[in-house]
Amino acid sequence: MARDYDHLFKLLIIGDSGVGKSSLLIRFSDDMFSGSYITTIGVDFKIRTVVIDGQRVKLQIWDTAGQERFRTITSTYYRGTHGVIIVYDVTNGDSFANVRRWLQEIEHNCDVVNKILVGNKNDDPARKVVLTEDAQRFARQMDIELYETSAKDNINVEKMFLAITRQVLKHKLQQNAQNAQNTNETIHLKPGKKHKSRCC
Amino acid sequence: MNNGTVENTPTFIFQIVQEKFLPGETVKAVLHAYQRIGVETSNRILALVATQDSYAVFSFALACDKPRTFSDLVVDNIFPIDKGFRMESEVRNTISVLGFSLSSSQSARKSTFYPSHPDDADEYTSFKLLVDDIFDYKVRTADTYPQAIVPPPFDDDESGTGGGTTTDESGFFGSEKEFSWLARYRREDDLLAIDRCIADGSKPLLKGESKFQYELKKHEHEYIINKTYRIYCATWNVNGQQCNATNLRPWLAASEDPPDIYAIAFQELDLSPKAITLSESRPDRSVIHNIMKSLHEGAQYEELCSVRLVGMMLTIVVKRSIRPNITRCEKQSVGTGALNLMGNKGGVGVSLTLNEDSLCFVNSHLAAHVSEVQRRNEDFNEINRRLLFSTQDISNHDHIFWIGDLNYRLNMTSDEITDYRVMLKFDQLNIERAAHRVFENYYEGEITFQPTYKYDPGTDNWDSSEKHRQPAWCDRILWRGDKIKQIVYRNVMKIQLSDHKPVYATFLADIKTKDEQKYKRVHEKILKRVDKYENDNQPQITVEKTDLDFEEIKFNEEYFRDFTVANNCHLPVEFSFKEKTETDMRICEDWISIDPCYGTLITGRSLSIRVKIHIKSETVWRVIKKQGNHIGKIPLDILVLHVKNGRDIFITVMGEYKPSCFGLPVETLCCLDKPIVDMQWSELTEIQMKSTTEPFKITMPREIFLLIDYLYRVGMQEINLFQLERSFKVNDNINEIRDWLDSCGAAEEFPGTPHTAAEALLMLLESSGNPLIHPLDLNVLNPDYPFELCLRAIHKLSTPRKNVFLYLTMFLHEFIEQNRNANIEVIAKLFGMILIRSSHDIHGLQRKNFIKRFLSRGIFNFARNEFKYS
Repeated sequence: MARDYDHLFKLLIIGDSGVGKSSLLIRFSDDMFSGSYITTIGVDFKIRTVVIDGQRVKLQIWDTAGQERFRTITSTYYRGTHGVIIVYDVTNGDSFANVRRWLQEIEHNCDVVNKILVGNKNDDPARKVVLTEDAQRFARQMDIELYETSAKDNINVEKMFLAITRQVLKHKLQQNAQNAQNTNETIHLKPGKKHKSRCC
Repeated sequence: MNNGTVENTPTFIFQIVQEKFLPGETVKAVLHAYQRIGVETSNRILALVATQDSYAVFSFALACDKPRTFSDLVVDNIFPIDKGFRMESEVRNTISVLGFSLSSSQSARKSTFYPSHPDDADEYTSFKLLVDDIFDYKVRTADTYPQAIVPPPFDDDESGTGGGTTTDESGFFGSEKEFSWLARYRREDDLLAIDRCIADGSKPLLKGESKFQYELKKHEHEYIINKTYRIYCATWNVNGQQCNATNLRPWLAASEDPPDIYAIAFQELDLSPKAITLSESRPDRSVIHNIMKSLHEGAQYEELCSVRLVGMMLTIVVKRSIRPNITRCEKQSVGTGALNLMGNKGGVGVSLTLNEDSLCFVNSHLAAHVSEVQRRNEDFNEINRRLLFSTQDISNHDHIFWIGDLNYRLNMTSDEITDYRVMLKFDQLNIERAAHRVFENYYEGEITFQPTYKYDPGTDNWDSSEKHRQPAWCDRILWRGDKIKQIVYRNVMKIQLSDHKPVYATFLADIKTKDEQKYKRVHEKILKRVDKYENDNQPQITVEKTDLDFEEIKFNEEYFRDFTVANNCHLPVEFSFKEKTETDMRICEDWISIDPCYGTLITGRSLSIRVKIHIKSETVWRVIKKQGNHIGKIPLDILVLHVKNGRDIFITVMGEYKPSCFGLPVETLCCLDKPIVDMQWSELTEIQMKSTTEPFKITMPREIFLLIDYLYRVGMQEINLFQLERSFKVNDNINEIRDWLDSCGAAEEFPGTPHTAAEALLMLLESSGNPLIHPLDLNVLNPDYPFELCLRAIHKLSTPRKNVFLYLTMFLHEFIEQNRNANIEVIAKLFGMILIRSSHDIHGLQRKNFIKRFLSRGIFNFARNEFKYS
């Protein structure tokens, strides 16, 4: 029986406490938003299957607690992650400043991983303190894609999740192609071996 | 009144079924049935329901064996009585239980049911009659009911995805509006409803995969459309003649439009006994080559497959452009000749899947001779019984074409030949079919051509041989399936090679096809719903609190906090505390314990979990390290409460470890200038850092001095003072001593006894992160190592360590000398374990012997010298 998906990817959402990680996830998975803030104390996950280029991609998205004291514990959830979503709050400069630390966290805990930078709460220009240009410059410097989103007004959320999914999918397909090439190279060596075994 | 009897009465069931519906929706009849799902059976209640202007058959699944209320009935399927509605009895000679199938335009697949009480024929018969009457009535009253599928203008585009075209489905009786009341029962959110079988754990939750397939199937009617395909069936008994040079074009290229699928059947390709005995199964390539040359020139064709049994061969040829739409193709053959085994008679078949429908083509050569009618019927049944494909028999296909030399003759003598239309009345196949003895549920087009048998080869003359065989329509083409329309049905007089004339028929068949646009929409909708189902069915647990505040924590004291976990979701939940990392397999710090650390909670239940803290001498240095220089409460540990297949919840253990002499290095203790009880961790860490550079305030820790001094004064004659069995470890008195030491209570009376003082001394010595003899030169443990050098090693220790060691050994030496009960072996072993701890694997005996060397001889002189230095 056919599987109900072609690819299964694990995505992780990280970032300072209160930047809207859970809101982004709930907007993406259930298309809902709740104004009341409930801090995540633990690690939650939701699934959503998207179709990209005719392929069913099942996403298991892990939402982590952002509080400082959980840093060590949450770092254990990085294992096996295909893509990481680093979220800051465009109305909170500190949360943007901390992105660097989160990036280091990724470097310490994952091997090769696809990343995307997300400035959330981008729905009130009056309260915005992290300018798009600054964030863009930083993103370019770090070689990460940047999305400014609003889970509240449902701006860019779908786009952002699809972008990281595409990135992960592309990465996987490239790797598969590379592996296939490597296997081909191995096959080239085989005739010699065969010849040997024939002598016995 | 006995309830059980009431519930089983038909009236009772009728009543609860009626309760499922609104006023104006009347239950007309009820039928108990079951469905086969794999190897299991599942009970159903079928209900015929009427509104003012429409009817539908509902199939209810039962939540329990004997439904008590209407809520025990769950709508499983709905079959509106519309144009596409069919209720057909499945006649099979092998299955004793009478089954029937229901289908409708809006239900994508036929569903097969079996009456639950086959002996009670009344219930089934009356239900069926009522349904048939309603259907007939609806057909009669429908003015727009089309007679057959109107062939649409043909799509000439060869480069397209296929050769078929779409049929417009609208405009039949029972408009969409008439059936709008059914929408209420096709609940969109039914998969979100809490299934009580899932809740009590008696039925597993459907996994994403099966749920997805199930939902996709259920919504088929939203994205399945009909596409019309042209099908060309042809049959010819060649009477053993070589036909690879014959021009077959009049037979195979006779249609105006190029067919999409050809099914070409031959009989008697080879009459040799050799072919019969060897059951020749290799397709005759030269004949196939000739076929391929003789097809319609309007399209490009390829052979899909050929199947042969002795003289019978069936070749399926498809238009190249529709080849990708055929996702499955299987072939099979059955011999019904001598012994019901030989392949001179029998059938060959091909089963294939085109888009979303299954098609079956059968080429059979049934028993010969006028008198063998019964045998031919048996051959037909035998082929039906034995021609099995991997997952289905012939009758399971959506479209069936049965072609071949069926060998049915005329029940009359040749002299009576006058008019073919008259002769057809004597046709055995027509007679047998009318009597429901063969080809039940099959259709045949009107025969407007002269008999296909028997001719003098090379002519159109009737058999002139001695046998003078009577003419007959041996070669026939029949079909089964509602969406098939025959266009032509002819024989080909021009081809004179054999004593049979070839026959062909062309059809238009509506094949269920995915509408890619609609499919994409439905697919995405279902993905979302299945995802939601999975998200909503994630086991959840609620915890009363995520912070466990232990407030002040003191050394060697037990504390506990309880918190409640509850299962408020509809699934049973398994929880456990999770290992922190892959390398650290502990679920919590060594000084914390959790009870229980795993468990199962069914819906609505809660459980109290107790977290205990007991900081002992082995672990205290770790707590001190954790507390660092923080003042006040800190997160001492984070417990990960894991829900199986669900989220993790972090439980933070908060508290402040109060400073005590236990666990601190002797160097630090030698730098204190006030009671520990008055100190903050920030001061202590500062002192600890300075202790490596600055001179010590005192030569050895006051705490050790006080304990040894007390023992020296009152405990020298105590029996069993130093025992390997540490029975005073958990004694309240120890904690009083702790407080006495930490407040430097020299002024107050010592609160303990010699035994508790001895234990406190041991705990003090073993509680520091590093052992007293640290760093350790492993050579000193060698029994042959000169004692002088052992003394040198002691000399090299930091002053506080050295002083403690010397003071302690001198005391112990004295104790052993004075106390007649003292056992040097026990004491050396005990202190060996405490003073020499190392990551190296050191044998206990070595440690004991090392300490024993010091205890057995006086080191008074050495000590005096050392003390003088410091």
